[in-house]
This record gives sequence, C-alpha cells and structure tokens, in this order.
Amino acid sequence: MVDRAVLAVALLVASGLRGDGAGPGNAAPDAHSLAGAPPIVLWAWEEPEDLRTADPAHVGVAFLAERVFVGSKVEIVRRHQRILTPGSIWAEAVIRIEATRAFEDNATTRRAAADAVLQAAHLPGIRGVQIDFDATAQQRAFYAEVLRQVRAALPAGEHLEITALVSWCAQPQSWIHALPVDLAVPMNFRLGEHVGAWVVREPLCAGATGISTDEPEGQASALAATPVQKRTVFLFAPLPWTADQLAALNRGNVPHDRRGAR
Amino acid sequence: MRGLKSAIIVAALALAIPGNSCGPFFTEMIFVQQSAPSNLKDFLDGHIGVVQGALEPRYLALAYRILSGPALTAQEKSSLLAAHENSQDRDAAPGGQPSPDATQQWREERARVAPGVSDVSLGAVRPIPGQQWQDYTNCLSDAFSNAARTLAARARDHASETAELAEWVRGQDAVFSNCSGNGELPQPVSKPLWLVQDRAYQTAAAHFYRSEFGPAQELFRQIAADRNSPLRSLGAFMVGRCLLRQATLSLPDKNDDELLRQAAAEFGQVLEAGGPYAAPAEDLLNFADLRIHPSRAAARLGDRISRPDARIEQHLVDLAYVSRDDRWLSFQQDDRKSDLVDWALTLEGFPIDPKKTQPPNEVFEHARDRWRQTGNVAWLVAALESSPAPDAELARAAAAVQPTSPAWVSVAYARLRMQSAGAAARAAAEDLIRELTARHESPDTVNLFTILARKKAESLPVYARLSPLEPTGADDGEDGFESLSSAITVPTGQRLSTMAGLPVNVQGVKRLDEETARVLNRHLPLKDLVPLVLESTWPRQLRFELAMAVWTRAVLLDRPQEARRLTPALIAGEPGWKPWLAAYDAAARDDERHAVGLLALMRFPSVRPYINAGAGREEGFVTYSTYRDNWWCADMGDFNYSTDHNYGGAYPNPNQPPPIDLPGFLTPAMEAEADREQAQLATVGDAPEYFGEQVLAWVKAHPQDSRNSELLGFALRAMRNGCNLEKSAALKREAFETLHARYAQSEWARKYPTLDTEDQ
Repeated sequence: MVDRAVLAVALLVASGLRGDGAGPGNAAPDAHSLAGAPPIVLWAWEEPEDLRTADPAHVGVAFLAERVFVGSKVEIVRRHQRILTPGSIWAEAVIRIEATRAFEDNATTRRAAADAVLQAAHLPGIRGVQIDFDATAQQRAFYAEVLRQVRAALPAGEHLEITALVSWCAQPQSWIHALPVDLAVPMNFRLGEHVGAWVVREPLCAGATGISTDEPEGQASALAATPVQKRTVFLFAPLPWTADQLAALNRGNVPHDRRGAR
Repeated sequence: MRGLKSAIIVAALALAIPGNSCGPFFTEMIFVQQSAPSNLKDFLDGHIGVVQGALEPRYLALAYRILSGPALTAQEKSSLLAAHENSQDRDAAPGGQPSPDATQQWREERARVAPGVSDVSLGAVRPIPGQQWQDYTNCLSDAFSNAARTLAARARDHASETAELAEWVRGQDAVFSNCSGNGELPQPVSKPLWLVQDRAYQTAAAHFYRSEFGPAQELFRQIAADRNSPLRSLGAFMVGRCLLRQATLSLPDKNDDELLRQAAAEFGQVLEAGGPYAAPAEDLLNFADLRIHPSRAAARLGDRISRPDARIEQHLVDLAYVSRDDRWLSFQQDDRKSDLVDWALTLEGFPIDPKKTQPPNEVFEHARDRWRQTGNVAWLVAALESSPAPDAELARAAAAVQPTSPAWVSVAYARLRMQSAGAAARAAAEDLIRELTARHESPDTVNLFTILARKKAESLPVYARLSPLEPTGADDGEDGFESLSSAITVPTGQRLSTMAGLPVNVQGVKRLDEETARVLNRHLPLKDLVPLVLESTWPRQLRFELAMAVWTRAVLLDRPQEARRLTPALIAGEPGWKPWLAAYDAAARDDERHAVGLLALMRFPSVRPYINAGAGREEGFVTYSTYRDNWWCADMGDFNYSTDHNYGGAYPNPNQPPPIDLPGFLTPAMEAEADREQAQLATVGDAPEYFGEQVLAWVKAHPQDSRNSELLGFALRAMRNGCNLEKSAALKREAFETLHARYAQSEWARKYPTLDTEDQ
C-alpha cells in the first residue's frame, strides 16, 4: 500500500538549491516562469481531492476543471469530483482537450474549443489556465489557433500555460516556440525506458517541470534537466493526494508513492 | 494525462473519470493479454481460454457464469457486447450533460402538444453547494425523456384538454427551470384531478432540483401515500432519490453515510414491493450499499450475475467498483457469501479469512473443498490453478473434463503445468498448441501454451525455436490494448523504420517476451549464443537483432573469432554495415581492431549488446532516436520501467526486474560462463561514456592515426544522443576540444562547430 517513505530529493530546490541542472543543453533559465506561484503545484485530476492541509506558502494546485472533447462538434465535461483546498491556495484550472476520432479542424470547432477553455478561465479564485492537449502534428494548427483565441480573450492578469510532451521541449525552436503562452510544463513521467533521456532546450519549457510521485528516477532526472531558477515543479500522483503526502510536501519533500492498483 | 485506472460508478452524481498520463508513448508488445479477453464475443461464446486471477473482476465474474452456468442468454450477450463497444468508442464523451437526444425528445413533444407555450432554455448542471470548481448534473437524461413520455401519454389520454395540457407543460418548464439554478415553482392548480396529481409531482420535482430535499421528500411521501395517485410508486422511489442526492451533496468532503443508509432502506422497500421501479431501485440500492455495505452489495451482485439478468452489465460495473474500496480486505469475508465472489477472490489468491493467519495452501484447500462440496467445474479450475503439487483426485477430475467444456483449456493448461520439464511435456504442449489452433482459440491462449512449452523445453535449440511469439496486441500508452495495426501509426508521407530491411513493430511480426530476452541477454554465454544465431530459423529481422546483440557482446568482450563468425549474418541483414564489419574482421593488430571495432559500434545507433524485449527499436537500424534510445545504457536493457503501463500490471519495484523461470537445460557451467561475461560487460557502462573514454584514450595513444577525426566525431555524436549524458559531459567537452585543436579542417569539426550543435 502506501509507502510513507519520502524521497531524499528535496523538492524545494526550486527555491533553495543552486543551478544543478542549468548545464549545457538547457534552455535559458529565466526565459519563462510562473510568477507568484509556489514552488510546488499539485495536479489534481478527476478524483475526490482533499488538499485542505496543504500549506499555501509551499503548495499550489492545478485542478482539472473540465475536459473538452473535440470531434465534429465540441463537448464539455466539467469537473464532477470534489476538491477541497485552503482558501488562499494558489490555483489554476486545467483544461484537458481530447481529439476524438471524429476530430474536425474548422473555424467552428476552434471557436468552440476556445470558448470551452474560457469558461474555465472565469472560475473564481484562479490565477490562470493550463491546457493539456497531446496534439498530434496534424492537430497543431488547431491548437495554436485555439490558444491564440484564448489568449486574446483571457481575463486580465490570468496566465496561460500548456503541458508539453518532453519531445516538444527537446529542441530550442520546437513547434511550440511561437505559441502565445506564458509557459509550457514538460511532463517528465510515463516515459518508459526513456526516462532521463533528454534535456530542455525550448525556453518556454524552462520555467517548470512536471514529475510524478511514483517515479523517483524520473524526478531526479527531470529536476536535473530543468534549470532551477524560477522553476515551478508540477507534481502528479497516480491516486488522490493523502494527508501524509501533503505533510511531506509542506516540509519540502516529494513523497514517494508506491500505491498501486489491487 | 492518462488514467491509471478507471472509476466507474453507478449513478448520477459521482462519476469518476479517468485522467490521462503523459506522453510520449512507447509501444509495448502484448503477447498474452491477461486482464481482459482480446475478443469479447468469443469469450462470451465460451472460448474463455485459461482462466486466471489476473482477469479484471468483470471478466472473472463472467468466466464463473460461463463455467458454472446457466449459459449467458442472447440478450445478456448482446447488452455486454453493446456496452463493450460503447466503452471502446472514443468519440462518445462521458456523460456530463444529458443526452441531446433526450432534451430534443422533450422539446419536440412539448412543441407538438403545446405549440403556444413559448420555448425556454434548458440547463442541466449546477455547482456543488459550497464548492467553487465543480458541478454536478442535476437534470439527467431520464428527466427529459420521462417528461416527454409522460406528456405524450397525457396528450393521448386528454387530447381535448388543450388548456390543461398547456398548463402541464408550463408546470414542467418550471421544474426544468431549476436544473441549472433556482428557477420557478409550478403554480398550484385545482382541477382536473389528473393535472392536480401531476402538479403535485411536478412541485415535488422542482423542490428536488432546487436541492430543497426536505420539502421534496415530504411531497414525494404524500404522493407515495396517495392510493389514488398513478404516480404513487414513482413517489416512493423518489423519496429514496431525495435521500441519496442529499447524501452526496450535504457534506463538504464525503457522503453522508446516515442518509445513504436511509436511502438504501427506501430503495429496499421499493425493490421488495416490486413493480416498475423495482429495477432502478435495486440499481440505486447498490449505489448506496457499495458505499456503506460493500460486502452486502457485492454478495447481492454476485448472486445476480450468477443467473440470467437483463441488467448484467450494470451489475458487473458495480461489482468492479467494490474492488476499488480501500476496505476490500476487511469485508471480503461477507462477499464470499456469494459463490461467484468467493470463487473470484479465491482465484485472485486472496486469503480466505484476512483476520486470521493464512495457513499454507489455504487458497488451494478452500478451492478444493468448494469443488468437493459443489462439484462445480469452476471450482475445479480454481483448485487446479492454485494447486501447489500434482493431486491425484484433481487429476482424475481434470481428465474427465470434456473438450466441449469451457473449462477444458484451463484444465489442459493446469495439467500441463504440473508436468516436469522435458521432451515429453514439451511435446505434449506442442500437441495442445496444434489442437488449440485447430479449435480457433484466441492467439493469447496459443501464446500462453507456447510459453509453457518453451518453459518445458529440453534443449537450447528447442527453447529458441519456441521463443518468437507474435504479439496479440500492443499498448501504446495512450489507448490501452490495441491491435498492432492500430497502435503503430505512421504519419502520412513517412515510411516505417526498418531493421534488416523489414518494417519494425508491424502486424504479424514475431518478437521475444521479456523472459526469453533476459535468458538470452543474461544467462547464456557467447559460446552458446553464436551457434544459436548461426543455426537459427528465426524470422529474418529477429535473427538479425540477435546476431547484432551477440556480435556487440563479442566485440565489447574482445572475442574477435566469435564476432567474425557472425559477420555474414549481419551483412545479410544490413549490407550498409559491411565496410565497418569488414574492417573489424581484417584488423591485423589488437589495438587497431579496437579502433575499428569502436567505429563499427558507433556507426549505427541501434547497435547494442542485448536484444530488445517486446517491441523492437522504434527507429529501426539506422535512425537516431529522439528519445535517446541509441546504443545502450549501463543497465544493458535490463531496466524496463515501462512495465508500469503495459498489461503486465503495475511494477512492484522498477529497479528490480521481475523473477523469471530459467530453463532447465542451463548447466552450472553455462551459467558460470555467462556470469563472467556479464561481469565484464558491466564494466563497460553507458555507451556514450564508454565511447568517449575509449576514443580519447586511442587518440592520445595514436595521435597520427588517420581515423582520429572520425573516431572523435562519432564519439561526439554518441555523447549527444545517448543516455545519461550528464556522466559523459566532461568527456564530450574534451573530445570536442581535441577535435577542433587537432583536426580543425576535418569534416567532423565542420559538422560540429560548437559544443552543442544540434544534430540534424
């Protein structure tokens, strides 16, 4: 069941350690960052989450606010599961976009997808939105236009992020380079045997890294691969966050998660 | 992001939706899909293969029913297949909104019956009280379709009462005005009776959708108590729904268990009374019980699934939900009151009584006892599956199982498993494989028997002959189990990568499973591997990969004679490699051979001293991997982190490979020699670091050698594209500076003008 052990990897490297990862091949460390965010941001997916014991000074939350299915038309499924947080927590809404097999790229679906994102952007108490879309090469024009429309209509003061496949971050002028976003969060987990096998060269990806609680090897290499300064660590857990994990995070440690399916 | 497991919940409010983990996604070959049948129709028709505890709970339950009878009805099969198809349909977004069909049905009926009543907007979703970021679907599809049906019935029965029908519609509009926020309450009416009775229901429903559960419940109770109301039984059902919804909305961080208990009691009464709402009441009773009395729910569901039931699909969904409950182990004793659930838990290997110390062989003895008590062949299968040693009584019973029985394949597998390794068992296994093939059993089943035949093999050549397996599917990490043709997609205009001139990872390709790959990579010495390659009848691509692995090992171990024997096989597979291989074979001196050996190793990024388990290198022989799957890492292919997301299940410890069965023909001498070679290989480390060190040492020792710029260039390339580059960063800088200091005019110096020049 839950392994209470806590990895020695000090998560608060984001605010404390020196530039251990800013070596050759890494993007300029101050290119993009998430101003005002705590060093750790927890991804809270569509499961009941109780984050009330998280220390807002150390921990923020990026919660799944809605999923947007893009086919010949656009359907929205908003968050159903409870999420409980301290009132002052730094929060942003995550919008997962999924292209169905009936995916159509046209002006209508682009507009509808952007509107769907903007619905979430108007949720109370958030600092911005993060879009999670594993766009294929053929879907990139669609994605770029949706982002452009969202950017144009985003409430003042809200930032716009995307999650990024590590491959999108591996080249200095990758296809995401010109996207109108503040930050791209490379997702350094579920990389199979290729964990640790890349560096960040795209400046958009330099201000954050995404790691998972159940992949200690991935954590170490991801933290090494991303420049430290102004870096926000997004943390994924395979199951809902527990009070013990939150306590560890409040102390600045990444909990090592060994929970698995029955 | 992608879900690590799906949550499927029975009713409206709490629908857990799988998330998604993050790419990129790498294809994992699946040789035996253990958790679910690859062909559900065949499975439902009785081709259930080898039933094992790794099956998902829903398929275990179905296997029990198929083994035990009564046979699944045509209607049950149809509903199961339809649900399966629906679950496979990625275009069907999970329901957060009522179906457009239902709302449209209501709009059309409303317009038909009361065209004069102005149209209204329809919402459905409300925020959860006290929460800021989440909603619930307040008005479900059934609300709209039931309203449409009821209106149609009233219009039929009271066709001439157009004003009253219009008033009925206005009342229902008021009800639906509360779906997404507090709207209106229906206006009271005094006549006629049918409208008064319906208006009472509409008023109660409006309170329900306004989350005013106290008044709603009271009004529904009055309807339920009204002997003259045609909505009486519906009123009783709705009392339970009031309690259920209140239970899920009233507390900020959990369900209100006391209200769930009250709801369960109400639904229990409706179920007891029978009638049109008994079935939905049972579904919602299960919804409540799964949260407050999961054992009671599991036992009831197990019994329902054990006999023909039109709602079998929903029962399977609910039963699977039990297994997600953290209290699983503490309440399974009660679950076992259902024979089906008892059987499934036994097959999964759970202790019979978790509160007591588990005696040795407890699971087996329980299964055998239950078989003796019931005579049910399902229990015979469970007993054979868990049997620690051959058992004469079970063997006799197994021998009596007829080939027409759905248990026959499981029984045959168990009997074979009990046989000692050797030629007889292997031959028996191959006979069975032929029979299974003739019976058109699933490829997963055939592979499972092939693996067992391999484990029984009496010699290395036989073992090798039985090793290549055709994957039954692939998991690309994104969509779960798929056929290879679906999992491997190539962008238009691009070609599939090739190895030995053949596309990699395509439908029909034969690959090695992890156990075989590890036996070849770790437990066999070169002297056995070389003849294995030379005499191999493997498919061309797989033979080439093995030849390359063995050759690489020979070069790294400086065993040129053995490497040379493999050259023809390598050239036959990849003729473009010939000049580099020939140079190695022709080297006159040891140090020269080392240099040209390095060049031959570095020339192509797929060169590695091991053969891939599962999928082949996705980039084929020539192409560099964007994800640095180039040459080898210090773990020499042993570390297979990706078992996290394949159908082998969660990885227990990603730093330790799972145990494997070593073949019986391995002698201590073979193992000792293999161990010595492995120890020597372990000193090689990561390829980039190895190349950097070796090349720099060569260049220092042979500063005038004409191959130096090429050696330095290839080493630089490896140190840009291999794994664990931080370890070779200093070597890379040294190689770069050496290249530019001594060979500034070389092609390689021009190719890499800066330390971090991108490879094109």
